[in-house]
Order: sequence, then C-alpha cells, then structure tokens
Amino acid sequence: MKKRIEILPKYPVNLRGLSSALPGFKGKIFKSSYYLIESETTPAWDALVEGVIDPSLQMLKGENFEFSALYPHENQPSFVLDVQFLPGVTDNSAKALEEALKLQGISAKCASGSLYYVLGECREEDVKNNLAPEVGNSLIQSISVHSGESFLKNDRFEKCELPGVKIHHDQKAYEVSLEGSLEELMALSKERCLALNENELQTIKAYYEKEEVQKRRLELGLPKWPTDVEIEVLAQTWSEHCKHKIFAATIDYPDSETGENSQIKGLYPSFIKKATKDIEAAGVDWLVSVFSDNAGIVRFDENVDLCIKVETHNSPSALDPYGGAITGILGVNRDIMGCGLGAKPIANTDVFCLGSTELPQLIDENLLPAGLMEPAKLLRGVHKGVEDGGNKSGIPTINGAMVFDQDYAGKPLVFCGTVGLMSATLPDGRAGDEKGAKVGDEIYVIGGAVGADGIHGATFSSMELNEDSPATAVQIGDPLTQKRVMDFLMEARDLGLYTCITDNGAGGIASSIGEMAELTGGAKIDLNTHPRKYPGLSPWEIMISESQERMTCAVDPKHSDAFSELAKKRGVSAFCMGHFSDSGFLEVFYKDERVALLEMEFLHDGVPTLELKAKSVKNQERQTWVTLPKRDCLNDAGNTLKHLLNRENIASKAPWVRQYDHEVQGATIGKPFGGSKGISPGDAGVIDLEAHGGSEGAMAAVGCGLAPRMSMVSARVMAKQSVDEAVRNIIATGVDPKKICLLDNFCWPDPVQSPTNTQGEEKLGQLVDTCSGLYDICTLYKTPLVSGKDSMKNDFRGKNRAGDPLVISIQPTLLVTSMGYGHQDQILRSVVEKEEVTLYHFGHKQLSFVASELAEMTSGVSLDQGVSPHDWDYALCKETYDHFSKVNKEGLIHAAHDISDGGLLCAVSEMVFDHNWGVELLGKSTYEDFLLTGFGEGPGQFILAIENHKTHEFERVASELKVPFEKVATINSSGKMVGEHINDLSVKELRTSWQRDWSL
Amino acid sequence: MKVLIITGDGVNCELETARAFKMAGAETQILHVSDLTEASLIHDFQALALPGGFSFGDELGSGKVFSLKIKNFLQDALFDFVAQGKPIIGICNGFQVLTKLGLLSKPGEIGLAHNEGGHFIDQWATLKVTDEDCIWLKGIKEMHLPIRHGEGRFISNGHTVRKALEYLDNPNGSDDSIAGVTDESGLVLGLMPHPEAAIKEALYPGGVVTGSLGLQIFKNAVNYCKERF
Repeated sequence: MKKRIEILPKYPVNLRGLSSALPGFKGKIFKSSYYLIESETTPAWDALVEGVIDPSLQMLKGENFEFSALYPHENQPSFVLDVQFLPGVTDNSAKALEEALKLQGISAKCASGSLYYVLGECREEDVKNNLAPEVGNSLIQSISVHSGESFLKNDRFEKCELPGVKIHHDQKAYEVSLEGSLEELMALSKERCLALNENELQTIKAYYEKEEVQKRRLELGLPKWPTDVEIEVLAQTWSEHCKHKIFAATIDYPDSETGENSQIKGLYPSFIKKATKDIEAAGVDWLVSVFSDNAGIVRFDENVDLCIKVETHNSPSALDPYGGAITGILGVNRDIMGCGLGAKPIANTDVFCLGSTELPQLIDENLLPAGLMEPAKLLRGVHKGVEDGGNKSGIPTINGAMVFDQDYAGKPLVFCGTVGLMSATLPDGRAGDEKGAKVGDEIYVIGGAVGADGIHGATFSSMELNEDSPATAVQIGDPLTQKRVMDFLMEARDLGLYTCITDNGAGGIASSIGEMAELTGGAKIDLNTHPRKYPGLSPWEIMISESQERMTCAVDPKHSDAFSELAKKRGVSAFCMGHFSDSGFLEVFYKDERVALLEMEFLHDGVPTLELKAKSVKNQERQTWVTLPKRDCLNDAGNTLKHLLNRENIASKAPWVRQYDHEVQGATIGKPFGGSKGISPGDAGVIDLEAHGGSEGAMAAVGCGLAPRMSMVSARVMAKQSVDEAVRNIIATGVDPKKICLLDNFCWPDPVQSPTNTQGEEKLGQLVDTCSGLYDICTLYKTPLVSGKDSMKNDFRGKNRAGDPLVISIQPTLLVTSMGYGHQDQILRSVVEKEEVTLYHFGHKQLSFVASELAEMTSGVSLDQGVSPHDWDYALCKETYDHFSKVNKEGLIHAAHDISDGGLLCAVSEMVFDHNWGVELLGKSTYEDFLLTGFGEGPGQFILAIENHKTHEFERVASELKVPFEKVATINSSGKMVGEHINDLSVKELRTSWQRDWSL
Repeated sequence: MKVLIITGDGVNCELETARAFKMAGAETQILHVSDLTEASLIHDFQALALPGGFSFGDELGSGKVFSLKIKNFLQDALFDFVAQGKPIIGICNGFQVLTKLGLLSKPGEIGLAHNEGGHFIDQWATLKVTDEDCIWLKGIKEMHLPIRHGEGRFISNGHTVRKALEYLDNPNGSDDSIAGVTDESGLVLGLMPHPEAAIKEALYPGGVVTGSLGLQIFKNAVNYCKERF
C-alpha cells in the first residue's frame, strides 16, 4: 500500500535567502515537506497525525487541498518547486518517519521530499535558472518546477511511487587482466578510477607474475591476475589520500641559493617527524602517541588526555558543499572516536578557504570557471554542512576561520578538525591509548549499510577536478546515526567490550579492516555479512564503499553477545564480518567464494617510492588567473581603516558563526565573540577542561594560522608565519607557552610535473621549502607536530564561461592548528571592558606590507617599507611569547588581542567594538610611518590592554624582561577614534563597516 | 535528593545538565530512554530533567519522535510524577518534548516553530522572570542565558499559558516574547534558554555575570525537593 502525505506549516516563514535569489521578487517563499510511505497495511489516519505532526504548528494533508482555505491571508502560489532525493541518497527525514511509525507498530518504507511554494509574481525562467539551483543539488536531488495552479490540482496523491535504486551488478568477483601495454594499463586505471600511476601498475603486474604468487592463487582457485576486489583494495590503500606518497617520495632539490643539489628521502621523515622527535629529545615529555594513531594524543593534564585531528574534504565539497562539509566534520569526529580505545569529541574547528564572494561583481562573469559553483553558494553550503554536523552531534564549534582569495575559486578548501577527550586509564585498567586487537578477535562493523554512494572517494580526491568527476563520490551525512554510534561506543568502551577500534573513512572497510589487520598480521571476512542499502552491489563495491557513520571494532568472542545486545538496545546496527588472524593475508570471501587474497606486506609496504624533482622559487610575481581591481584610498587613513574592516578576510563572521552551536557541553569559556556584549572577536576557542574531568581550573585553547598569500614571496616564511599565527592566537588567551602542540594540514596545487602540469617542480619546491620552514619554526618554538594530513591536487583544469581554457591552482596552503593548555586564572579575552585602560603594543615591531590585506585592497602601497618578511626574526617572537606569559601570571593584563590581518588599527578597533569606546591614538610620526605601524603585518605582536592603575607595574615588569612595549592609545567614552593622522572617526561607523552585510 | 536525566537518540546536553544539578547539591542519574522500559523506575527520583539536544536530528519537527517514544510507556508516569508534587524541567529540546507530551498545556495547543530569522542561533539573551511561583524560578528576577536553537519561536495559538520567562529583545519571534512556560502547578518548567550552560562566571561572555546565575534554577528545585521529600 502506498500513500503520500504533505505536511504544511501553520505559520509559514519567508525564506529570505531564497526570495533574494529571484530578481525583483517582492513575495514570499516557504517550504513544506512530503513523505511517501509504503507499507503492508494502510496506516490509520489518526496514527499518521499522531506520528508525524504537531497540530499546534503543522497541518497534514493526504489528498488535494484548497491552498486559499489553508492560507487565507497569503497569495496563491505562482510556482511550486519539488525537490526529492535521487534513489540511494541518504534520506534522514524518511528514516525518522520510519522510526516514528515503528513506535506505533507500523512497519513501513519511506521517502521524503520538499516543496517550495513561491507566493507572488515572478518569471518562470528566473525560477528555473535562479531559484531551482538554490533549493537543491542536481547531483543528489531531482528538482522540478511546476506552475502553482497545475501542481495543486495534479494527481500526485494518487500516483505515489517511492524512489528505489535499481542496479543489477553481478554479485561476483571478476579477474582484471593486467596483460597488455602500459598505455592499456593506464587506460584501465583511468576507466576504473584507480588513480594508480605507471610504476605502481607495473609493480602490481610484476607481483602477480611472481611464480610463488601464481602457485598460491592457483591452489586456492583464484585467477592469475587480481580480482576486481583486489585491484580496487590496492588502489584505495595505495592512493595518495591514504598513503601520502608525495610526502614519502625521494626528491631531488637543487637549492637556488647554495647551488647544492640535495636529495630528500621523504619530506615526512626528514622534516615533520624529525621536528617532533627532536623536540621530544629536547625535553617535551607530554606526547603520548603522535605517529601511529588516528589522531595525535597529548598529556597536558594529570587527569585526562587530549587528542586532536584536522582533515580536509575539498573535492566532495566542491561537488556538493553541504554533503562534503557535513561528511567532513562527521568524518573527523569518527577519527577521534576511533583514536586509542575511543575518545569523546569535545570541540570542533572549521576553516574554509574560498574564492571571494564578490568575484561575480568584481570581474567579467565570462571569466569565471565554467561548471563550478560560485563562491557565495559554496559558502552557504559548506557552512550549513558544518552547522548541522556539529550542532546535531552536540559538539561545540569553538574555533575556525574563513579565508577568501581568488585562487580558491577553482577548488574550495574545507578543513574540519576535532578535539577529543580520553581517559589515561579506562575503568577496567586498560590504557586509553592502547589498541589491542588479538588473533581470533571478531571483526564488527557498526553504524549502517553500504550503498554505491561514496565509492572511489579516496582515489577521486587524489585526482584533479573536471566536469566528469564522479557523482558517487558525493554523500550526505546522518548525524543522528553517528550520535547514536558515538554514545554506544563510549558505553561499550567503558564496559570493556572491544579491544580495538578505528573509523571507516576513505576506502571504507578495505582501509579500516586492512589497517587493523596489521596489528595481528591478517584477517578473514565475508562481504555478504555486510548489510546493503539495496540489492545489486558487487563485492568490490561493498569492499570500498565509503558509506558514512561506520566504525570497525575488534571484539573478543567472549564479549560479542554483550556487544551485539548493547548495540541493539541503543539502536545501532552491528554485525560480525569475520575475524583477525595471523595468516599474513587479508582474505575476503563473498558467501563461499574467495574473492580476494591480499598479502599484508605487499598491500601495506608494496607501494613503490615516488621519485620527484623539485625546483626552487622565491619572490615570484603572483601568477593568478584574474587580476582584481584595487581601491585608491591610501591618502586617508581613516577611510582606509573603514574599508579594511569591511574586507571579507577581516569583517565580522558573526552571522555565520552564530549559527554554529559553540557552547554545547557547557564548557566553552573562550567564545568566538568573547566580550560581555558578544561582539568583539576572540583570538581562539577555550574549553574548560575541569568540566570534562580535567584538573581544577585547567583549560585548553584551540587556534589556527594560515598565510597562503606569503607562499609566492617565500614558502619558508609562509610556513613560519602560519605557525606563528596559530601560536600567537592561543598565547593571547593565556596558555602556557611550554604546553602547545600543533597540527599541519597541507593543501597543495599538484606538485608532480607532467605534460599538463608544467609547474609541478616549482610547486614541489615550495612544498620542500614549507616543510623545511616548518621544521625550523617548530623546533624553535618547541611546539611539536602531533598530527597532520595532506591534500595534493587542488587544481581546476577546465574552461571559463566563455569557453576558453582555464587553469586555477590554489596558493600553496598550510593550515596550522594549535592546541595549548593553561590555567583559568590566567585566561584572557580580547575585549576592553573598562574605560580606565591604556593600550600597548607588545613585541618586536617587525612589520611589512608584503602579502598584507592593505596591499591587496589599495594601490600605492610601498612593499619595500618596514622589515622584509625574509628578515623576520622568529626567535624574537618566541621570547615575546615567554614574556607575555610571565606578565600575564603577574595579573597585569586586562585584555589581549593579537595583531594579525589588517594590522594594529584593525586589532584596536575590534577590541573596543563591544562597548563602542573612544580611542585616543598616541605618538607622533610621519604619515608613511603611521601607515606602517597602523596597517603593517608581521609576526609576534599583540595589543595589550592594561588598567591604568597597573600601567606603572606593567612597564616595570616588561622593562625588566627587556621585551619591547609602547603605549599606543588611551580609552575614553567619546565613541571616537582620534589621532595625529586620524580625525574624529566614529567607532560606531567603523563597527558598522566591520559588521559586513553577508546576506548572500 | 536524586534527579533523573533522560538521554538517548540525539539528546546531547545530559552531562552538563547533570553537572548543574550536582553543583546544586543533588545526586543525578543519566538514563537512556531505551532503558526506561519500566515506568515505575522514575518514581525512585524526586525530580526529572529532559535536557537539550537534537533528538532524532529534529526530523519531523524538534522533539516530535522523542515525545512519541516517551509517550508509549512513560506519559502516565510523568503525570503521576507531577501529581506527587515532583518537579520536571525541559530545556530546549526537552521543552519541545514537554509541549508535545501535554505537560505544560493540552497537547496541540502550544508549540515551538522555526525561528523567525529562519536559522539556528547561538547568542546570549537577557530574560525576565514573569512567574516567581514556578518552583524553579523562586527569587530570580533577571537572568542572562544562552539560547541555542533553530526551533524556538513560541506559538500560543491564542491559548493562555503561564508565562514564566520572557525575552528582553525577542530574538526568535516568539508570541508575547515567551522564553519559558510553567504548568498549572508551577512544578513543570519548559524553557528554550540553557541555564545548565551558565552555572559559573567563566561560562558567561566576558566572564561577567549579570542577573542571577543559571545555577539558581537548579538550586531552587533541589531546595524545594529537600524540604519536601
């Protein structure tokens, strides 16, 4: 029996964002939802009413209705848009309805959809061209536009068909022959989306040609060449995404300065790992696990351990920003849930790098990349994804950033990070970071069924974007299922029900089981035991599907009943797929047929090392695909400040950030907008660790830094500046400089030279320089790198809207995430809360306009002025941070804010926005010097607000420490900013400019 | 004095709610809704809390499916609970559940719709207490608490309710600026703001407390129960 129901709001809310998509539209757009229900028996109408609606807010209709009878005060709809998920796409509303009906004893299969009623006059083409793309994404949804009149009278209630996936792939494994020429093998790699290179294909071929391998395969009834399951597992496991081949590559690098030709045997061991090892050897004793697990684990506190991980989800977000971002954040949450024996996510951080949302207004639209979403739409999508992913999981989003630059218009970067809380010791005495799978332990996968969605995510992300990028790589997350999984796992962990755990991310169970099997030396599984969303999937598809919300656990057989029972009680799907062994092989069956036999050693260590060449680059002119117009406002400092504050990179992100829950779990003590009025921005998110079981008064701060525009000047400085900003952010909140760990996330344009990628060697040169700079700064600051990730092909190769070829490569980008520890007695916020306060510049004045916001915004900026970034001395910054901490411990600082994008005057403005204070700028200088001090950017500097009765003591302590400080302003209640070169500037007006209208 | 805190299926503020009650001097137990199969279980407790969160991902409307789940075996027990003079609090998602269970007003009379702004908001709101006879709000005049919701716009459908809390500047378009309501007995409080996230100075924006601490709400209930049970 099939039934369609529609749920209409009693009080329809105008969706302003959508209304503004229609040019000149004065009416209203509201949304209703509908469900298609298929069940053995027709559910009674009362049960439906009871089950699905709240009569105080909604109306339920099961047959055609008179619109004007329901909404007597509204206009008739001119158009109705119908949006429904394509078959097989995760449909969370439908799942909820199935559960709601089940609670009333009705077993049913459901599908959901949305209707958008457009009330008021508009043109059909505008609805089709402008509105339809806003209400859904045709990669995962069907969107149809109807005239209001015909829709309301149509026969949709009678003709009700549930979408269903109809695929009939053979449920068998097939041999994939590697006979044939190199060209044919490469064609195979491309066709199957394997992303294997020539050398790798030949290595695989040579392996399968080995006599002993052939003999073994023959005995077990396997074909000579790999089965499709095997080749797919190899491709996933060997993908750049999983194996980080570029960071492991041997690189020839002639240094342009010394002329010396150096050979680097792997960037990761030579710089990243080495930095941490050297720092550890120099006495840092709080690292628990840094190179082996899902996330870095540190012991800052005597009661609890913290782990942290940041991931990127760039390619999926480019295709479907909502789905890409929500699966990004839920995915990194799973990394944390699978860290050690399981950690609890306590905070999220999210960084987006996007093309300027103003691009379509700033440049000729024909120059924009064809087939890609505009930055504003991407921003709305990724923002909503992070919002739903974090909020619905009950994890506060405490930190983040948005960086806008035209070179991200070809590929957005979406970084999602999570902090997790672990007990050093679990209730049953096991160490919290111990992973202890044993031979004979059963392999349980929990969380849900697989579908064709998310196939080839790992290999796809290892390729550049083009118009044929696979839609199956797009998925939607299900935060409810994941929350249930998370709650269940925490319970099961404390009951000691599993011995080992990891997440299912890229490569699905091929990766998770494959990796865990390394602990025992083998595993044996039957793919037929894995539930599927619909029939017809091939064994290889089950094996590598990246369907979301799944975790893999090793369960001692004596606990498997208890494990399954608890899962059932908590509404979590859990099923046993086989067991871990010490056979040396990953053995995969489908029913009784053997479909894969993969030698563990070959699978994990067989991938050949890449050999690459790098070329040194420095002080390059920016090579970009488009030149943006600049202002000419430098002759008026006040006006310059107003415009700077309005820039996307500096302006308040409050309208976006306030849609994230940043306070759930009741422990956020350093908020995104930290002052008593909640307007001025904080430097970093701060968590009360005591609330989570940490020692009394303990706190942890999370910050981030990135300086992509510096890459063209010097990749080395870019790395240092990124670290410095991340560290400076959390120093400003009062953490202990001796307890800071860092994460490195590299997003790079393709660094492998090829006929289509002629600048690969230079991009690789920048990567080497970045790693080398990162080593230097980390060992200097004694801030170990505890986790990291890289994403290597962030290029767009296609056409612009006029049809001309277009390549857009991102600026080499290193995101550094910092996590520090301190005591709440020393917590600082960045807001001037009192009038009787003096502002000081604190730190060494190393300022320049190179790669600054000012230089991006206006013409006439002298890049030679100040201290060149090549000469920035970070040892001085390190001293400043140590001294900052000492001054803070004396209780002398009222508020602190780091000087970052836009320079000192932007920082000062932000500090006084909460209370609209007046600011009297002190000191005399030439106009040129004033501009440099006011708008120059550089490392290691703060504005400190010192209460007037403490200035004497502050100056005494700072002088003793020999740290440079300079009085820059006094605070008053005038609401005006005044100074030698600034005339009566209204702080309120500055604030209005900073509180940019983001209504996109 | 023992408080039952119900969780599961996407509820996510159970730990901080327990922390608030403990700080106020109560013992607490967090139980998964699926473990509450025996309705009599709740009578071991003197007070009960439905915390905030996203039960069932807010699909089909916030609190909808969770209230169905509770309704099946707990609804009568909850009415008994109140009849015995025991207090209940529903915060945010818990408030949404309470309205659907009919513990604050007859089912279907009042509800919480999507915010007028059309999206989720996290901000601090100044609240005035308008009914000090509600046992949870005794002696409190004004509070500054965080609101964190997408569906918090109170809809009265013209029914008279006992308004307990009122927003100073109505951030979500609620009828009559209502932020919280109490039932006839004054024992049941449903509110959108999160008092459990305002139990100490450090949690306030800028570290500055204005009005009463959110903790006072929990203290009031604990004191009330300690005097009676």
